[in-house]
Amino acid sequence: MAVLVDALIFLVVLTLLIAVIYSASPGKMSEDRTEMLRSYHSVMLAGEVSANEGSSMSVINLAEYLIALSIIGAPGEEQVLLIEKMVNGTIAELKMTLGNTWLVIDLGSAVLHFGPQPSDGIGDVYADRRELGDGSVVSTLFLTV
Amino acid sequence: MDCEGVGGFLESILAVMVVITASSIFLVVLASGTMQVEEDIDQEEVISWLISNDLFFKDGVVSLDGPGVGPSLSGLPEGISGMTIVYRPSGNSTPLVVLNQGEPSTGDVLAFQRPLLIELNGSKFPGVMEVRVWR
Repeated sequence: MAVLVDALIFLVVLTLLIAVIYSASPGKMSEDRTEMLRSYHSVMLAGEVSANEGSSMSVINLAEYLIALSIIGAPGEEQVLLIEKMVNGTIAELKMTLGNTWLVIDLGSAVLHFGPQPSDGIGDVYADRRELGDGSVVSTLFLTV
Repeated sequence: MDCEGVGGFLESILAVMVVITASSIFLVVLASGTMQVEEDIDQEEVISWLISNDLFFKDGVVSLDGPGVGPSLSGLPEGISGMTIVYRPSGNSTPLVVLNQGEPSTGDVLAFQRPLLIELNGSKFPGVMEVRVWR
């Protein structure tokens, strides 16, 4: 009988051990989220913005537009609204599918925030940081789950 | 078992048999779970198929000729009986193009989405490709 009890204890311990091994591998999910964040960020920055309609240089992507703005100086209200229009879709998409998302763009002379930043006591935060141009523009997309 | 708590020979044999049987059942359950996972649809294989059929580009653009007019879905990956692909702008649930191929789903469906640039009316904007596949 004692052997039987030992066997049962052994099985219980083995089950718990396997359960711990399975549950202690959050790395895959974390990698997936980081990869998704990177992909969405890349696509967002590659989206085209029509800066000067009618000009031969009218079509540039968001990354190029941000670099141009950093050279000019602090962006005006119109430019901020244009950037907001460009990034809102991605922020909304990530919020729907992954979790609360916000974007911080550091233009050197100004720091722009898009999307609702969570208050204190949030869970895990993932970030994808991109230095654009010579590094004077930094775009960081945050995700919390 | 005698008065000193020592099991007899037959009882020991029985206990060992119980242990072996229980361990075998346990291993079979684990193995069947692994086999089930292997039978699931491989998402990366589906993505590779989509790339090879010009339906998705990791660093490229999917061009749409207009709302509802875009790439066509001809054929299916091996072992897949049906597929639905939806292209839509990021943050907007209204589809621009919906592609369907194969029989309606009757069982488990693998669903995933990937961001991509969509070109429509000469403008490239962030979009999402939603894929559903089933066996």
